[in-house]
Amino acid sequence: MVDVAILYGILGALINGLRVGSLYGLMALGLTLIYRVTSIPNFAYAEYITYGAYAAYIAMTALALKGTLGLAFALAAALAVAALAALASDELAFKPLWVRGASPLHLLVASIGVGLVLRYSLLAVAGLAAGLLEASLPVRSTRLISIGGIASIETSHVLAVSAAVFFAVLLRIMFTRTKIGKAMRATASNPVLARVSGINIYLVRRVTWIIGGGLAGFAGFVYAYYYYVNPESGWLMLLWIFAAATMGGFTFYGSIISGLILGIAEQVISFLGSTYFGLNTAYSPVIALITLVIVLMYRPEGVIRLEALSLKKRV
Amino acid sequence: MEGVSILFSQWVIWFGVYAIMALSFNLEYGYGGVPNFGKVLFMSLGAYSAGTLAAWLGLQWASSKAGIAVAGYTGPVYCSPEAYHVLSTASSQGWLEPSQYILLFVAGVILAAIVGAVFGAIGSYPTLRLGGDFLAITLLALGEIVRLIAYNSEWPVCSFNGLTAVPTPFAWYENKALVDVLYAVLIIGFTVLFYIYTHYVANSPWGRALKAMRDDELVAQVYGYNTAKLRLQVLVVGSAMAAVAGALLVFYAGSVQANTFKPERTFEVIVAVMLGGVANNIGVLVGAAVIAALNVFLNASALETLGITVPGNVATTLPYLRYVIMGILIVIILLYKPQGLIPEKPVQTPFLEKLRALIKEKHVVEEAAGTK
Repeated sequence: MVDVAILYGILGALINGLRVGSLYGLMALGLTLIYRVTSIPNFAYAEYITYGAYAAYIAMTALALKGTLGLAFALAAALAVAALAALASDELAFKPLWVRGASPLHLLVASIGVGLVLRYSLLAVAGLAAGLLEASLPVRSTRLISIGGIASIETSHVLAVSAAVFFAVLLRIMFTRTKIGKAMRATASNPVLARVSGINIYLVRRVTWIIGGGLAGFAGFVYAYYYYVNPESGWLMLLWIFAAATMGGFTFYGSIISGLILGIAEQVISFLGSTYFGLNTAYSPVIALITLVIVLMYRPEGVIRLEALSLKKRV
Repeated sequence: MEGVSILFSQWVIWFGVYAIMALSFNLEYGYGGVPNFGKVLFMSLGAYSAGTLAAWLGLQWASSKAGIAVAGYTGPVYCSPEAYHVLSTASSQGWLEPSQYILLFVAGVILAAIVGAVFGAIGSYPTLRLGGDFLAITLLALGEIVRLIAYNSEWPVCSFNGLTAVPTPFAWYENKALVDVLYAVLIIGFTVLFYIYTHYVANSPWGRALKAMRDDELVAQVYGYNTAKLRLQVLVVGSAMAAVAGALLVFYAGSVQANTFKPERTFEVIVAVMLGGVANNIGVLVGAAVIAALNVFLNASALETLGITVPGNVATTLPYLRYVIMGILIVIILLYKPQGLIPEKPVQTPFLEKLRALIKEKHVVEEAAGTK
């Protein structure tokens, strides 16, 4: 007979897995968009999330904002700062490299470098200013429904899951139906031809980075709404994000679904592992890492790629 | 003055570690084109195996001599406080002979090389399927898996506390100020050895085959080279070197901490190689010296020893500044000097071959003169 408390625990892990998973999916969306258009495996992506989270925190605390309006303002700040960070890293590092014809591996190394600059300058600033090493939004996620006193659904759950679904559908529509989406796909597959056809590929690139960075900022805002943020929290999630994106074969729906699978697996496996085998929950990133390694080695084209076939047909 | 000499020997030791790592990465990536971003994985495996062997064996010897039984600990026996006590006082109590310390060091380094070679062979499996950026990400992830497990489990290196009582090779030496200098000399010996080795190996037919594989794998295959085997060989050699570097670091620090082997360490090695010059061993040494200098001199206490006082604000940001500088450095190198400071040179004919050719030529000339 399984204990009722454990059943509730599993339910709670599932619900929290949904939130974490949709956050991973949301983060993987921006990474996917950037990878699809510019083919940069962007290791600096996680830092845009951290910057977004910190921008939201600083905006709210510095201006002493409260309530939903304050949250909206914080979200705007997160979007702006993360998009700006993404755009700046492209303009200063990735675009010049791409123009010089750098290989994907060099772009990867450059992105690690950009990530180091962003992360450690934030760490340096946080080390100087008081109270910045651990931050969270003053308006916290509140409980909506309580299940058995153990598991509960909070506003952050609703926000994360709905945002993930909404943005995946939106990006998919943008990528397939709109003019800018078509321009992005054209730029991705053949920049020279795209340019000859009258597409401003640099503008397309800029739009891509702004949208990708904005998504990171949104994810950072949701993260800071529930979790505590430190300058390294984005970096610690990077491997989950990469795992979700590669498992989804760098497609939008695939990213969200893989993110959800990974998030639920993380929560449920670490819950079961700690209750039954006494395993430390600190091992949970191993799940993401092993997924990443297995997917990259055996199915580098991705596991869940719902729209890949239909996209091919459309092109 | 003593502080300065310690500081400089510290720099030399870190230079040696980074130089061996960078030489091995240069062999793998610069010559062979295999982006082994799991450098720190093999380094950490070498460090763990050398550290645990030295601590375990040293503890056996010391406790049997002292007549103290160290047991009854849940994790590995060398993690217990008693073990730390025995090992840290072993030299002053005379429980371990100088020759035993040296033996522990030699055994540790040899075991590290073997473990590194074995895991390098295993680690070459992903290269059969992947190349370029995906291979880099895979090896990076494997390194993180090992670090996470080592950080959280008692095996092999006492989880987050770290294995803190590794017997260092010169622990018996009375003049403690000279210990670091002695170790620096030792590590320079290793570095010179590995430099000569990589220099000759890179200029050998095998090195040329690696270059062919890097430049065009299909062509190398057409010319009859088994590229999978070449990758296996280069990873075995490179990983064994990285593992030895890890072991040398452990015997210097006298402790093994899992968090020493964060992915940033791999990145430092990559910066060293790309800064100095890909596929150029001298350049790589220059890069390693720069990275080691950033590592050793860029903190408040080191600067104070050198007579530079820094305000408290700057002192707190200095450790982070190191990585900011490295990040900026790598982007600038990739943008403006992708060849590195000292670019790749054409393959040199080894000195011995030159000599042999010279003798042969002379011989031929003499023979021709003789027949006339």
